[in-house]
Amino acid sequence: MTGMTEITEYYARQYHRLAENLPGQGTEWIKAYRHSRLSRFKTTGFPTTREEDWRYTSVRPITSREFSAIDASQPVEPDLWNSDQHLIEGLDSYRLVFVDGVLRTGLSDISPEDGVRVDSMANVLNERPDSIQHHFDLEQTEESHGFTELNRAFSKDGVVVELGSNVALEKPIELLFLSAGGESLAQPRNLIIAREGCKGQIMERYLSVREGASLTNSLSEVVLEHGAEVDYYLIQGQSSEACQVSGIWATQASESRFSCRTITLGGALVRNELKSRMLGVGAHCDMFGLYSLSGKQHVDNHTTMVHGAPGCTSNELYKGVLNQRSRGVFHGRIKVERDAQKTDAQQSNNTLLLSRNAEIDTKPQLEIYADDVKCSHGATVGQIDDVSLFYLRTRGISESDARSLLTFAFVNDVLNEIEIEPLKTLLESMLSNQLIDDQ
Amino acid sequence: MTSTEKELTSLVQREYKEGFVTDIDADTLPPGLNEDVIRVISAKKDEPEFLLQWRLEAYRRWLEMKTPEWAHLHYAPIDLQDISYYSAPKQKQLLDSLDEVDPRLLETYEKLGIPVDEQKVLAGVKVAVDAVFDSVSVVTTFKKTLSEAGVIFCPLSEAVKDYPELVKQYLGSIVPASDNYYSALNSAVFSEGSFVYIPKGVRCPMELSTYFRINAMNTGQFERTLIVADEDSYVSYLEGCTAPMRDENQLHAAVVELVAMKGAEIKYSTVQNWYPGDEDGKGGIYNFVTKRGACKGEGSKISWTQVETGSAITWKYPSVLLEGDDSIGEFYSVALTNNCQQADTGTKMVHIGKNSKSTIISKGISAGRGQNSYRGLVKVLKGAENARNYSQCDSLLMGDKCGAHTFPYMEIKNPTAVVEHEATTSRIGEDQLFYCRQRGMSEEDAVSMIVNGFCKEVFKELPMEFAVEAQKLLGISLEGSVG
Repeated sequence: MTGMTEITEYYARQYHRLAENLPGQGTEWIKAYRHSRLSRFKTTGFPTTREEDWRYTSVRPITSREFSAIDASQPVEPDLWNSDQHLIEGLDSYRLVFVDGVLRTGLSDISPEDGVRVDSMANVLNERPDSIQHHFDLEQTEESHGFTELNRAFSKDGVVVELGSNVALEKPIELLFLSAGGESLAQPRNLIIAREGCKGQIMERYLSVREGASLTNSLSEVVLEHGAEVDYYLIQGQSSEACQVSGIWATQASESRFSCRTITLGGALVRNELKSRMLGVGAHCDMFGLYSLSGKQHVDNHTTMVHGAPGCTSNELYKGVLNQRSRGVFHGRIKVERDAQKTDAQQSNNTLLLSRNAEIDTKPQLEIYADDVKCSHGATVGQIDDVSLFYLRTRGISESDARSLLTFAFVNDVLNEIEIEPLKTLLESMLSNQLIDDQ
Repeated sequence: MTSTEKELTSLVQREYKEGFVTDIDADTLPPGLNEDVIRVISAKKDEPEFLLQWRLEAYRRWLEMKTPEWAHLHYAPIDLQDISYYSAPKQKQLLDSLDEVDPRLLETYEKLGIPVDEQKVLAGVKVAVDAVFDSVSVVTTFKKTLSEAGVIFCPLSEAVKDYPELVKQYLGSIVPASDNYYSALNSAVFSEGSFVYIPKGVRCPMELSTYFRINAMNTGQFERTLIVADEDSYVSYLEGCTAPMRDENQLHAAVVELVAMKGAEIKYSTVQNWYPGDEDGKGGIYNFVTKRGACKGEGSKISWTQVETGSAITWKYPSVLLEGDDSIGEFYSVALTNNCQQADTGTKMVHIGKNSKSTIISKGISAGRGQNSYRGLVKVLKGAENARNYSQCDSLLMGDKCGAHTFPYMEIKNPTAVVEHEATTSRIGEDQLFYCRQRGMSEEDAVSMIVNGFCKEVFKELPMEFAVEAQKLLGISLEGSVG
């Protein structure tokens, strides 16, 4: 597979092969919707490094292979699931397990408490499509690219979560996405609707259960109504051959709070697009990110904060540790619209560059059209401080221990933002193991 | 806050005093661009064959290029066939003394406050001036004093004839003709500019300055400046520019190249005051400039300081290639956009040598409907051990219709590099104003003090006489801290 046109054609053919069996195709508007997305995909194709938003990330590892959607009519092979390996110890959650982007009810617990509705996207599209048509109509096309359109055109499944007014979710909703390798293509599409005054935690977790290349192209839309509070987690731990393009797009009404933590430890090529559009007065958004990379991993975090109404606040902190031949990319955009007076937006990206062959490309952006604002961004790139290292050595700590301690301390302020204790414990131990290995 | 607004209004609505036109006969080429025009320019300047070929090569490259569109700027496409590429005030022959210069030209510079008479001094300091009027240099002062020190300071067109080897060696070596659309255009049609060569170990005895004036209608100015500082030398160079007020947009596409050898230092300061257009954005200069310096040798230093207050549109990124070990690059900038002005400006620091250091301080002030963008790149290549960069970009917003944007890029490929970037955007804090008012200051004084404080880090980098001009341009008295 060489040319972009060929690979685009390949996916278009795959779409036509699958189209009939995609969920919701019995409904006219869905059919038309998918069709128009596909034609957009065909015109835009996959992004290239000639595009400003992709200048540091080549999608070659994705376009040089032919990934294909799996046949979900087969039952899950029993050796695929291993609860000891795949579950987070001590975590009590409402769990939905997807294999290659398709919900497996047998492995899932789909019946949470009152006032909360959780259903598979396939079910919703087949049985009550009109309940979500509104959200499809509203979606933005201007900032989409090939991956978005590919997902929109032939996503097979995902989840629709509705947190009712004033509901406070007791346990986190955990969406566990497993990739089975074998050049599989998973394209989950999720819709989270948080009604007025509700509160809840939602986690997307990505794992590879078999070796081999895979592509996960996910898109999650989160709609927060007045006063809703959603804590979101994106936890990425796929194999060193897996590629992932993830979108989490939030739309926030007044006084709502959206907080997203992105922890990337695995994956060969990972691109995360986080976006929050604060459209109501007094909304607040946090984005915290942590990436600890080694080998030839390439991780691109692309974030956008749109302050579209007065009095909104946002806070963003991304920390990275780059080892071996890994490459980190950070792009953080803050846009303050004309009427968004009294905006307070802070952003910071710090990277520890620990190897001669590692590279970081960071690109913070402020675009400001209002005058009564306080905005700042900061970015640093550096190494472990020699003085701190010396201090620990004088206390009898070995050099490698001292290094991993200091590195751990560097990322700790992002870990501290994790409010789900079992997850935090797991990540802490994974990170410290990884840091010791890297020494 | 009405009196604050009044103060801001008076600050930003200063009239453009340099907007007059000098009525003088000019030898102007008809509008249009083709190979013949380039041949005519080259013939008028009596250039050697190599330069004509170089121009034509650049022109052919340019034909294949496209206008850059990545900047955060909005304007209608420019019709480059509608511009005249050469205009010179009519003069008899080569001039030896000021007495032979057309008095109307001298008057022009007098009005602009530029001392072309060696007896006069600018703000108390002797400065050697090369005065460029449209496409030609009118006069260069203090040539004798400078040549005694071994310094060459002359119009580029003269240098081409007198020092062809130097020009051949360095012209286009830092900014190749094919670098970008406007540098290719400039390489094809450049008409005037200054050439500076400082020999080994020489500290240039005075500040050098070129003053650019656009006068003729429908012309573009395409100046080209080349400064070479040989080993262990030092030079401080100032550039100023103005143009008449016209309803049409005029194009100014310059190229500036700096070469600093081992241990040499070049300090390049600009106060850019091209006509910015009127309140509704009618007229004004399009300032599309490529400026780049190379720190070739060990321990060399290049420092760019710019105060950008004019032009309808500014597209300008003075850059430094830090090739030598222990070399230093600096960029200090104040950019003011008012009315409908747009600026997309910043710098590039490319760290190649070991222990290279760079500092970027950028202050943007947006008022009216002005749009001000900082765009900068800090790149640390693999071999640049212990590279160090510090960048700070602050924006001040005045009024609710303006915009301030920051687009910094950092590409780091060496683990020993330490790179820091900070940016803030805010308006004048009411708490700051209140504090000053509480201490008995008038609102006007308080505002001007705060704006001064905001720009101080950059102003203090300017040579004294330019700091005076910069201060005048912002219409605010500095609190005696200049120089």
